[in-house]
Amino acid sequence: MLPFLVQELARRIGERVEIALDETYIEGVLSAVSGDLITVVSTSGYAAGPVTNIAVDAINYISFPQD
Amino acid sequence: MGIGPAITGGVFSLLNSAMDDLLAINTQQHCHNHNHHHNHQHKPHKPHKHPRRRHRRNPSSPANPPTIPAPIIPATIRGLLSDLLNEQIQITTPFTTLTGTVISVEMDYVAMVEPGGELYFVRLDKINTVTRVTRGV
Repeated sequence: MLPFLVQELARRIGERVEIALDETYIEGVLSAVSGDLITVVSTSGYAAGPVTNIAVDAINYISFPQD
Repeated sequence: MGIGPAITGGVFSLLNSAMDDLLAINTQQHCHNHNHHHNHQHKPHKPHKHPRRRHRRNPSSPANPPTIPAPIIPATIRGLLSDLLNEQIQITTPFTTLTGTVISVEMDYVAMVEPGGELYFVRLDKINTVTRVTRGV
């Protein structure tokens, strides 16, 4: 059976992600995936910023920027 | 039908055509009725007759090769993207427009790679439009 997005994201915890919602763009490190919720720790420079919990249904797309 | 005896030319022709119409309707109704009766009476026989005729006709036209199958037109965004696997496409979402090559179509998202090499997972529910980008410009 083909994977759902959450299943794929669960395998990528710890990676840098850029997540686009309908009107918001969130950059950070993917820190947790559970059910319909994913958690991203926003990063600005070296400091860990606020933790954002995102409903999977709200995601437009996720990209994995190349370092 | 109580048509009066004293009828002048123009009116007569009008009435005549009306009569014809009435007759036509009547006969049609009769035909319909007959058809209904036939349908009810001979229901079990009809299905047997038609397949036999078709079987006899088909071998008599071997010149007709198997026709070119009609193109299967995808009915869903998922099906459409599956058809566009390894093609360069443009996807619009409420947030923005993305361009890249489709590398796989999964249950609820499509994976695509930007020309720069960045990987994108786009949720199918959020895709507004899909456009194939012609190559070789």
